[in-house]
Parts: sequence; C-alpha cells; structure tokens
Amino acid sequence: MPHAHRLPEPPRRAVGLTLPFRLCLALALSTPLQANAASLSAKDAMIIVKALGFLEPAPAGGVVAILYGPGDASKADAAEIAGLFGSGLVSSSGTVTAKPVDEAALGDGAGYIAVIVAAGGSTGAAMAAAKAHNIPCVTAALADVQAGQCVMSVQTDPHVVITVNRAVAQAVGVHFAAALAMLIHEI
Amino acid sequence: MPAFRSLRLLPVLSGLCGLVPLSASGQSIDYGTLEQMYGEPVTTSATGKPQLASTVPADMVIISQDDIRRSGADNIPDILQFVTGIDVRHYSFGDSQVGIRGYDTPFNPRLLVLVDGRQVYLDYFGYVSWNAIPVQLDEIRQIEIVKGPASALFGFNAASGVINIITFDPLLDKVNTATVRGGTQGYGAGDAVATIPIGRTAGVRVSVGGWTATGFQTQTGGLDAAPPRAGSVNISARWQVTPTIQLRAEGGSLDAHALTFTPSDFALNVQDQVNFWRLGAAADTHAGAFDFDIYRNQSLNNFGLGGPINNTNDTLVAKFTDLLKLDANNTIRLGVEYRHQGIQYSAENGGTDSYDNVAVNGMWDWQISPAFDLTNAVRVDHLSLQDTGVFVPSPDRTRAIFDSTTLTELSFNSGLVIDVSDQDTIRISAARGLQLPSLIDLTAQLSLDGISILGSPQLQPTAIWNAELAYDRKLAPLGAKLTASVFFQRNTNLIGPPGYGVLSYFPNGTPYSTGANIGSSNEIGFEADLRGKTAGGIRWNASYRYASITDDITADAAAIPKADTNFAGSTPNHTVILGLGYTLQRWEFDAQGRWQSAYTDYTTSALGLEEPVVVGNYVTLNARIGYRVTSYLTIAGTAQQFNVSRLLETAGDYVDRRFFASANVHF
Repeated sequence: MPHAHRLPEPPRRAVGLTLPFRLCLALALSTPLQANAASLSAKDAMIIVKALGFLEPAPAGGVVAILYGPGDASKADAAEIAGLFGSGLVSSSGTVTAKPVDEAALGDGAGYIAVIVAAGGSTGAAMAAAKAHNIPCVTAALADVQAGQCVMSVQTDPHVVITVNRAVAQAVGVHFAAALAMLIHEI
Repeated sequence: MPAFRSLRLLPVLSGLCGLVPLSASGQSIDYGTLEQMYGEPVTTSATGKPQLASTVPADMVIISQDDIRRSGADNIPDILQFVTGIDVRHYSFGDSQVGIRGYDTPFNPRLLVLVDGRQVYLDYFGYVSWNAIPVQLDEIRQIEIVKGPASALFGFNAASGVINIITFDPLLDKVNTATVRGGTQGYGAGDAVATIPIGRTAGVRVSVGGWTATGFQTQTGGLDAAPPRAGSVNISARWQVTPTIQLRAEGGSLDAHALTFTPSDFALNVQDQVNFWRLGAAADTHAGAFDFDIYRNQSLNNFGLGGPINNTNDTLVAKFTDLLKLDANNTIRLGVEYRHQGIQYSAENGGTDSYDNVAVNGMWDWQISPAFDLTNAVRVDHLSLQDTGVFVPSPDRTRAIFDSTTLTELSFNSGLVIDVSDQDTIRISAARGLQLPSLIDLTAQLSLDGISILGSPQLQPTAIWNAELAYDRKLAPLGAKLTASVFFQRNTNLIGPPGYGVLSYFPNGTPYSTGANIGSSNEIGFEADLRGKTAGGIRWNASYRYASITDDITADAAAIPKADTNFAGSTPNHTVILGLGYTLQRWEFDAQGRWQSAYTDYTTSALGLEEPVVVGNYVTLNARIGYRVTSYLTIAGTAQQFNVSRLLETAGDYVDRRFFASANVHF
C-alpha cells in the first residue's frame, strides 16, 4: 500500500496577531507560499546529487525521477524540485538532471538513477523502483526513513545531516563508499 | 661527575624520538566534495576515519587553502604562528621550530608532522626541518592540527600533537597554478603546480618550487654565513582502477640549506637532501575500506663540523589498515605497521645503527546515542635495536645490553563527544602518548673533542598523559564560534640525550657522555578561540592561551639549565592573537597580530658554556593586501612583523621585518 508523504506545513508566525488578522493573512499568503516552498531546497538537491556520486557503483550521471502523487500540490512540488536541478547538477561521477514523474507512470523505474519523493508522492512506488534497479529512494521526510519506507533523507538546518536506513539500503542493494558512509547518520 | 661543557657535543646529543606515525590513511577520500556537502572540512587525522571537523574527539584546528592565501605567508611555520596553542620560534631565515602547548626547544622532538600521512619528521635526531618539506603552499588543501598526544593513531612522537598537511588530490582536484615572490632580505621564490588528467580515471600532479635569500641579521651583526635556500620537486599520481580500487604513487626530492639552531644551543649551516617514494592501494569492500601504504624516506644531513655527525638516514614504513562500519553505531579500524629506521654516520664505523618497530593498533567509535559518541583507540609498539658496525662498549652499554634491548609500549586515546544542543558541544578526552628517544639518543657512538658520545639503549620513552575538557559553542547572532579547552598534562621519563649535562669516564679516564631519563614535568593549560564573520563581511578572530609548566628534573640535569631541562622557563605563559580581514570586490585585506609573554631560551657562549637568553614579551603584526587582477591573476603584498624592524624571538638570529610581493596565476 502506498504511503502518503506529508505535505509541507505552511510557515508559522510567532508574533501574537489577532485571530481575524491571522485568518486574513493566512488566506492571502498560504497558497502562494505553498506553491513557492518546495519540500527540498537547492542545498538539499546539491547534497543529494553529490551523495549519488558516492554510490558503489556510482552512476555516470543520469536522470533522477521526482515522484509526485495525485493532486496539483504534489505535482507542483515535483516541478519545483526538478527546477532546482536546472540543466543539471554535477556530482563527482557525472551530471544529474531531474524529471517530474507521476507515480502512476513510474513503472519499475527503469532509466532513473534515483527516485526523489516529492510532497504527496508515494514512497511505496519509489521503493518498488528502488528495489527493482538498486537505486536510492530519497525523501525530505525523515520520518519515512525512520519508518523504513525510504532509503535516505537530507536535512540542512541547523546543520547538514544525511540519514540512511541501513536495513532498507541493504534490502534495496544501495551501498555508499566508505568515505561518505562514515559521515552518514545511519539508523 | 663534572658538568658537561662542550658545546660541540650537544648537537649530537639531543633530539629524541623516533618513529612510527601510523598515517591516517592514504587520502583516498574526496575532501572537496564532502566539504561542499557538509559545509565544513572533513578530516581523518583524529581517529583514522573520515569525520567532520566539528565532530572529532580531539582538539583540532584545520587551516584551509583560503586561510593560507589570506595569511600572505610563504612558509608553513609563518602560517602556524597564528594558531592558538602553537609556538613558532624563528631561529634564522630558514630555520623555524614549531611546538604545540609548550615544551619548545630547538629541534622540537614532540611534534609529528606528516604530508598526506607520510611522515616528514626526522627520526634520527628527532625533529622536523620545516625548510626541508617537499610541498608547495599552492598544492595544500588544508593543514590539520591535532593538539595533544595522538600516539594511538600515529605512533611514537605524536607527543604534543600532530600536523598533517593534506594536499590536493591529483585525480579529483585540477590544480594548475604558479606563483613568484620577491622582497627584502634578497628574497626570491617561485613555484608551479600542474595537474595532468590521464583519461577519466587517473591523474598526475607535478609541483616544483624553490627560494633563496640573504637571511636575517645575526645577533653579532652579520648575515647568515651561507645564504638559506631550498628547492624541491614532487610528483603524485592516482589511478582509479575500478570504482572501488585506487592505486597511488608518489615521489620527490629536495635540497635545503639553512643556518640551523641545534639542540646544543648554537647554530650550524645544515644541508638536508631528501628523497622519497611512496606506493599505496585502497579498496572499498563490504569487509571494510582497506588501505595499504608503503614509503621510504632517505636523507643526507650535512652538519658541517668537519663531518663527524653528518649522516644518511633511511626510513621505511609499511602499513595496512581496515576501516569497517560494523553497524549503524559502531565503526572499527584495525591496523598493523612495520617500520625500519637506520642511520649511518660519515665518520663512524661503517656500520648502521637501526631499529625495527612493529605495531598493531585498533580504534572503536561507538555512537552511543545521537548526542553521545565515544571513541577509543589503542596501539602497541614493539621495537628492537641493531648495530652492525664496530661496537663501542661502556660500563652501562655492553653489546649484550644493546642486543637484548627491546621496547614494548602502549598508547591510547579516548574521547567522548557530547552534543548538548545544536549550538553546544563538549569533548572529554584522555590519552597516553609516547616520545621515543631519537636514534642518536639510543645508538650514537661518536667522538667529538676527545669525548665519546654514546647513545643509551636503556633510555625509556617519555610518556605523555593528557586529560582535557573542551567546549564548543556556535554564536549565531555573532556569526561566530567559540572553542575553549582546559587540559592537564603529565610527562614522565623525560629524556636527557647524550651530553645533557654530565660526563662519565671509562676505566682509563677517557670521558664519555651518555643519555638518561631525567625526571618528569607537569603542565596545565587553557585555550580559548573566538572567530567569526560579521554581517558586513568582516572576518575576525581573537584567542588567548595560558600554559604553566612545573619541572621535576634530576639534580645532575638541572645543574646545567637549558631548553630541554627547563621547560617551565622556556615556555611562554601567555599568548594573545587578534586578526581582522575583509574582502571588497577584487581586494582582500587581512592582518594578524600576536603577543606572547617572556620566556628563556639558551645559547652557548664563546667559552662553551650554556647561557640563558631572556626573550622579552613581544608583538608581531603581519598584514597582506591582495588584488584579483583577473580571474586568473592575483597580486599581493605581504608585510611581516611590520611593527618593528628587528626582534629578538630566540637565542638565534634577530628576526627582521620583511616585505615581499607576489603574483599568482591560477588556471
């Protein structure tokens, strides 16, 4: 059964505004803010691509599938993430581009070097592709990695932490070079 | 026994130390990419495994290539002098000695220095000739400084600390650059670094460089007797044979000349000729990251003095390690190492004095919880002596004693890192480090001025016990980071080299001098470093170091105070460092200042007597202005010690104000 990925929470304001004003503000700002706030940042994308260069064997560049689920929000998030890759991000082993992919159209994931799960995307579909082709499933949701529903998660605030579910990585057949493996936070 | 008075003996006598740095792997990690990912440097010099600089269980400072450029310095000691806890003594234009946490002496035997894990420490006399390290500043990625003993990883002589100079990777880092410099004191220098890719899987880096100068004014008013100068060439190659197997090869040659202040507290014009080769292989497997490394350092050391202590040295090191992550929370590193160190004197018996050392070591890193990480490392060294020439016995140095002498020593490092919060980290560490008597201390059999200088195989290594508490705090509002530490260090079995102060006599009345362990010494110290960058882009740093040493030296050694019997007096108690820097479009402005309190150095009088030289407290101010002319060309001007024209920093040469300009092309 596919696991739904949580949508990003809207920004919180700590200032003590009145309730009517907060409601008006939320109505005015919530939609554009959500549309502009991809679940991954440019720094996250850079780190993910660099990490792919430490896979053994490392892909000589390629395309990352940005997996989105039903709904416009998820598709928009995937498009935002794909936009972070521009014409390609460089890892130590090649240039990596990204392509938004509907989870219903992912198939077994052939042709992709990794699957990034956008907000609202299915980690189940991503993991199926990961297992079929020994490629990593990547998500912004640490909880999904902790729950064994994806291989890798990246956080950059307040400092960079790459979290890998060791058992899931082994089950998928994903192995990182020792240099990075020693720096990864494994669970 | 009468006091030993001849100066000329002492160069032979001092020194300590000797062996075995177990290098932190053969640099098969992609430092540049990992630093980009994590936003901070990565190092293997703390435990042998790749770690973020902020997480290591040791007191570590990493100097980046940007730091090196902005320092304006043209040599490594001048960069290090602005690191908290490091003392740099400029004895002459080409002779600087570097110490960590005090115990400073000419020919400092307590600091192990390596280039990419290959030692450049000279075992035979137990010191580092900073002028004779075959590496160009332009090819250095970072300089890693570990403060405190680190023998469990690096072996003997990582006593007060370790400096590991990490160069760019010839396969991953395409460094092509050239620099020329010229300035006062007749100074001229040039170097070039070129990286040649061979397909997509191999690369070769070639570096050449050299410099010459007229030198500083000496204390007697003249210039150095011979112009200091050095030249070197170095080649380093990497081949990624398969995605998981890498081969390495390296070699180099160097010739250096400098007026060098010896442990006998007088200066000699010393020539070092160094040649080395190195081979290595690394394999990343499911059974761990294997690394094999073998290298040979050969050096010809000409001390003048008619040749009696001129010598050739041969160091061969082979080591094998396996770094394995057992599970999510446990990583181990296992290693074995063999080392052979030999010395031949030009005026001795034609034989070779040498030792063989075999070591096993292990490291266990246990991530107890997300906030607690405990690292333990242990190493056992077993050393045996050999002498193949004519043997000169003495009452306490018979052939039987010599042949049966072995040393088996244990060292350890333990460190607990506690992430109290995202902003605060506490480190608690304990260690036992070892400083071996040098090969000369152990085996010398020379004759100078009618006195036999005999090494003592019965000398014991100095054990350095260290306990430390450190605290790091990120100060986000200031864009700064505070690092503070307090430590206690106990040194037992201090080494008095042959001639440390007393003479003995053969039954026929002929004098001889040999070494002995001469007591113990304790140190307490505190270091605090605060550095950051303002929102307006101003770089700044401020630090303070306090060190207090208490010696408990045997009476016969204390009878003739000198640097290695009076550590309390020869270590400055207070040091303050302040720095500022700013980048304005194409311009870079940087300045560093350092103040240290007074200390006592020693020199040898015309009568051959040890005499104290009180070096008063002093301030050194350095500055650099750089201008990026194009994306390829940068020009810069450096002023060193611009606040005073001449400065007494040691019992050696006066240090003169320096100005020099440089032009660097990078393509």
